[in-house]
Amino acid sequence: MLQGFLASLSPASLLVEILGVIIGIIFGAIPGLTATLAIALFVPVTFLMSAEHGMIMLGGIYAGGIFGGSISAILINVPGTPASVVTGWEGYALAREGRAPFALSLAALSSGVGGLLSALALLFLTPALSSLALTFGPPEYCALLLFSFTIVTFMMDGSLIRSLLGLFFGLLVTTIGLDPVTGAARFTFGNVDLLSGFNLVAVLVGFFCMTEAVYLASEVFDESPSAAVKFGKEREYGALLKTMLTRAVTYLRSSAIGIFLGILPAIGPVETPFIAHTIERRFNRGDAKFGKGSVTGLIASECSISANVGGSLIPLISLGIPGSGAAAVFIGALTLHGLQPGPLLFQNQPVLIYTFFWGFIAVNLFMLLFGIFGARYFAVVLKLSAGVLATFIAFFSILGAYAINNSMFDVGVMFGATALAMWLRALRVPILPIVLAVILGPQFEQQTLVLFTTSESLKSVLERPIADVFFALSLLIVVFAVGKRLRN
Amino acid sequence: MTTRLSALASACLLAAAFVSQSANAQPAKPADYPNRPINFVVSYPPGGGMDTTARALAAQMERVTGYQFRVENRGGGGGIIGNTYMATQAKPDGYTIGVLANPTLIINILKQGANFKKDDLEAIAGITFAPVAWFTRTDSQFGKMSFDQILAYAKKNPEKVKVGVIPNASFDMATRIVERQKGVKFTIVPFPGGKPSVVALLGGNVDISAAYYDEVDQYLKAGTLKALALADNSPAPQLPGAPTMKELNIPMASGTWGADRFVAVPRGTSKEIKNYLAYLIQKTLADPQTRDAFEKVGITLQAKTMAEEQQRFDESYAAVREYLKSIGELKAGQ
Amino acid sequence: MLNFNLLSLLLIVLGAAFLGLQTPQIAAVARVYPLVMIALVIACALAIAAQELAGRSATPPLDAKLAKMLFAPMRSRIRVLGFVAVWLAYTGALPHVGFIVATTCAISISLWLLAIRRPLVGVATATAFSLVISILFATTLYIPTPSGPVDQLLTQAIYAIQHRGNSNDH
Repeated sequence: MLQGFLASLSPASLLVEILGVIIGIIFGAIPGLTATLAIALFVPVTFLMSAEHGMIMLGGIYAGGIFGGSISAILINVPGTPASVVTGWEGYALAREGRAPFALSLAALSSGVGGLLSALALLFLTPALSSLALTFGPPEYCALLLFSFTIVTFMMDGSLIRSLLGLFFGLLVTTIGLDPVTGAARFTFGNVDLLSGFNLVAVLVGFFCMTEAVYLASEVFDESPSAAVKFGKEREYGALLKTMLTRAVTYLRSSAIGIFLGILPAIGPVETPFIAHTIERRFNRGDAKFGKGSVTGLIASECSISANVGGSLIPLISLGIPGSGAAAVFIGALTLHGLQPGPLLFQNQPVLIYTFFWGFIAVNLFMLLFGIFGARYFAVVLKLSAGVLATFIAFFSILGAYAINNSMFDVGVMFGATALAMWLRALRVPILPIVLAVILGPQFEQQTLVLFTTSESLKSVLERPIADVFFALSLLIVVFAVGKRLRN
Repeated sequence: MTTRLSALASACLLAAAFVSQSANAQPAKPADYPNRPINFVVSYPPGGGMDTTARALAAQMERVTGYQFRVENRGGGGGIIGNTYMATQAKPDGYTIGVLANPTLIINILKQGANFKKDDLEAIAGITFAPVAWFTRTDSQFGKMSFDQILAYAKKNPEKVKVGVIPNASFDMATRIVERQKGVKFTIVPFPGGKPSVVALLGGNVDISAAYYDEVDQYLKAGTLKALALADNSPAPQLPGAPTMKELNIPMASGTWGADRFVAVPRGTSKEIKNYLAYLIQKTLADPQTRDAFEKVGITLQAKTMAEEQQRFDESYAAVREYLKSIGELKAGQ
Repeated sequence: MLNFNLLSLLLIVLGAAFLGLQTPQIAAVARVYPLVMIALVIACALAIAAQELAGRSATPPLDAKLAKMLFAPMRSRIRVLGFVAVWLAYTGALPHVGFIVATTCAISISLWLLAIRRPLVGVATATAFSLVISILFATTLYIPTPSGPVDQLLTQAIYAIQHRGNSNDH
C-alpha cells in the first residue's frame, strides 16, 4: 500500500493525474460530449503509457468529466453530462442570484469530497463491499428499481397522473428492440437500426442539450431578456468552509448513498443524484428553496455523483462487473493492458492496484483544487452570446450523439428526443420520470423476467430482507403521496 | 511517438528478414495502398471481447506492417447493426475491414432476417475460435457432479436446473442442442450478456452459466468456478479438464457453437488488395510477439488462412442452417 | 390549449394501441411486459383526458421558457425554425458532402441566422473550427466522421506527413 502511495506521487503519475482531470473537465463541460465518450476515445492513448498510468488517466477523465458537466449546468443551465441535471436545478438558480463562483466552488468541493470518500472506501473496504454486488439478486434489483421509480414519480410536485404517464411511456419506449427472452425483434418494423432500441446517450443529449440549444436560439431575439447570469466577483472561501462544516451530515449521507448505488451494477452516475436529492429533501423539509437554488441540494447531487463513480470501481476492480457504460469501457481498457479485473487482480498486482487507488485519491484532490481556484476562468463561457452558444451546443449535440456509436441513426434519435421533450413540456408531462424509465427500463424488464423464471414462489421472494425493505419503502411513499393528494 | 518510430524500425527489419526467407510468398503491394489509415469495424461497443480482439490486432498490425490501423465501433442489436453496415454500406476500397464473429453473423442472416447475404462479405483470415463452455460454482451441489451426472439429475428433475444463456446466440443454441440430444429439460434464464450471466452464477441465482472462457478465467484460477463441458469436439487448451461433446456422446457440429472471430472485407474489394491484406494479417498473426500480445489480453490465437476460414464459414453456415431447420426457426427463403 | 392537450393524448393512446396490435407477433413470454405498459399508458392518458374534459384539473402552468418561445414575435420564431432546419439539413448532408464542408456551412449559417454582426467573422470561425476539429479527429481522437472529397484529401495529407521518409516502409 505504501509502495503504491509513493508511486502515485511520481512526476509521471502527477502528470497523468492532472492531464486526465483537465481532459475530463473539458469533455464534461461541453454539452453533448459525455464522460463515457471521453473514456472510449482516450483508451488508445493510454496504450502509450504503463498500465497504472493509463488507469489513473482514465480515472481522472471519468472524475473530471462528471464534475465538468456541472460547470455548464451551473453557468448556462445546460447539463454538460446527463449526470449534472440535478446540479443544474440548484446551481443555475444560485448563479442567477449572482452566486455563480460560489456555486461552482461548492460543486467542486462537494464533488471532491464525494470522490475522496468513495476513494477511501475503494482503498480500505473493497474486499468487504464487493460481496454486496453479489448478494443483490433479481428480487433485490426489482425492489430497488421499483423504489427508484416510486421516488421520482411520487415525490415530485405537480400532477401525479402526468408523472405516471411519463414513467409508463418511458418504460414502453424501452421495449423497442430485441426482446430479452428470445432475442427476437420487437416493435422494430423491419428497421435494423431499431434492433438496439433507442441509444440512451442520444436520447439524453436530445432531452437536455439540443432542447436547450433551441431555447437559447430563441433567447437571441428576446425583447425582454431574462436577467442574464452575472459572474459575481467576490470570493467566498470563508462561506464555502462554513457551508461545508455545517452540512457535514449531508456530505456523509449523500456519499454513502452514492457509494452504495455505485457498487450495485444496476444504477450508474446519471440516476444517482435524483435519488440522493429526493432523499435529502426528506431531511430538509424546511428548506423552501430545495430544487430551486438550495445549497444542500447542490451538495447532495454533486457529492452522490462523484461517490457513485468511486463506488462503481469497487465491483469493477474486484469482480470485473461494470456499473455503467463508462465502467464497461474502463474494463475493456484494463483488459487491453493485460489486466483482467477480477478476484485475482488484487493478489497478482497489489502494487499496481494500490497505485491506482492512491492515484484516484490524487485525481479527486486535483479536481477539487481546479474547481475551487479555477472557477473564475470558466466564466469565459458567459462572455459568449446566446447565438454562439446555441450554435456550438447544437454542433456538439449532433457530434456527441453520432460518436457514441458512429451512427447517423442515433443523430436522428437525438432530434426525435428533442421534439419529444418539447412536446411533452407543452403537454406538461414532466420529463424526469421518462428519463429514469428510459435509463432503467431494460434492466427492470430483464430483472423482472429473471425473477419470474427463477423464483419458485412468492415466499422465496419475501424471505429476502433487503428486497422487503425496498418494497416496503416504495409502498410507504405511494400511500403517503396518494394520501396527501386526496386530502388536498 | 517514439513507440511508433521504433515500431516502424522493427517492422522494416522484420519485413527485410521475411522477404529474404520467402520472396515469392508475398503478393505484389497494390499501387498507392494504403495511403491513409485502415479501419477495423467492430459490431460491438467498446470494452467487450470482440473490441479487445480488434484493438489487439490493430496494434500488432501497426507494429508488423508500419501502416496505421484504427478501430471503429458500430455496436447495437447484438452485432446485427455493425454486420449489416459491413455487408451493405461499407465501401469495398480496402480501408473498411470487418473484425467479425460467427455464428452471430450467420444467425443474423438465417434467423433474424438481416437484409444481406453470406456472399456480401468475404472472409480473409481467421483469428481465433473460442467454444461455448458450461460453468458452475465449485461449492454448489452441481460443483461435485460431472456433466453426465448433471444431465441425469436434470432428466429426473425437469426444469430444476437453471442455466443462464444469452438468447439467440451460441450459448442459447448449444444449450438447447444438449437438451434435445439428451432429452432433458432445463430452465433457461436469458441474460443480456456474458458478464450478467456469470454474476448471476456467482450470486447463486442460476446453477449453470454458458459463457466464454475469457469471461470466467479469473474465477477458474481462483477455484470459485469450474468448467463442466465444452460445446465443441476438440479439447480447448485453456480448459484442459473439460470434456468435449464427442467424449460425452452428444452429436454437435465442430467449430460452430462459440465465437469464431475472423477478418472480412465487403464484396467487391479488389483481389489485389484482398490478397495483400490477407498476407499482412497472416504475417502478423504468425509473429511470436503477436502471440504473446494476444495471450496477455486473454486470447489464444488460432490463426486460419483465407481458404481455411472460408471453409469454416461454409461449414458453420451449413450446420447452423441445419439446426435452425430442424427446430423450424429458419427464416423463410433461406 | 384544451384541444392541443386532447389531441396529444389521443395520439399517445393511438400510438400505444398501434404497438399493442403488433404484440401477437411477439413470443408469448416477451409479450406480457410491453402489454402491461401499453395498458398503463392508455389508462393514464385517458385519465388525464377525462380530467381535462371535466375541466376540474388544475392544469399546471405552461413552462415559462416554452411559452416565451411559442409566443415570440413572428420574425424571431422564423429564425428559430431556420436554426433548427439548418442543423437538420446538416445531419442529412453530412454523409454526402463530408464533415469539413458540411460543418463549415452549418456553423456559418447558424451564426449568421442568430444575429452575428459580422458574417465574415462567422465564416472564418467556422472554417478554422471545423479544420482544427478534423485534424484532432484524424490524429488523436479517431472519430470516423463521414468523409467527403475534402476530408479524404486531409486524411491523405496527414498520413503522408506522418509517413514521410517511409515510402518504402514495407
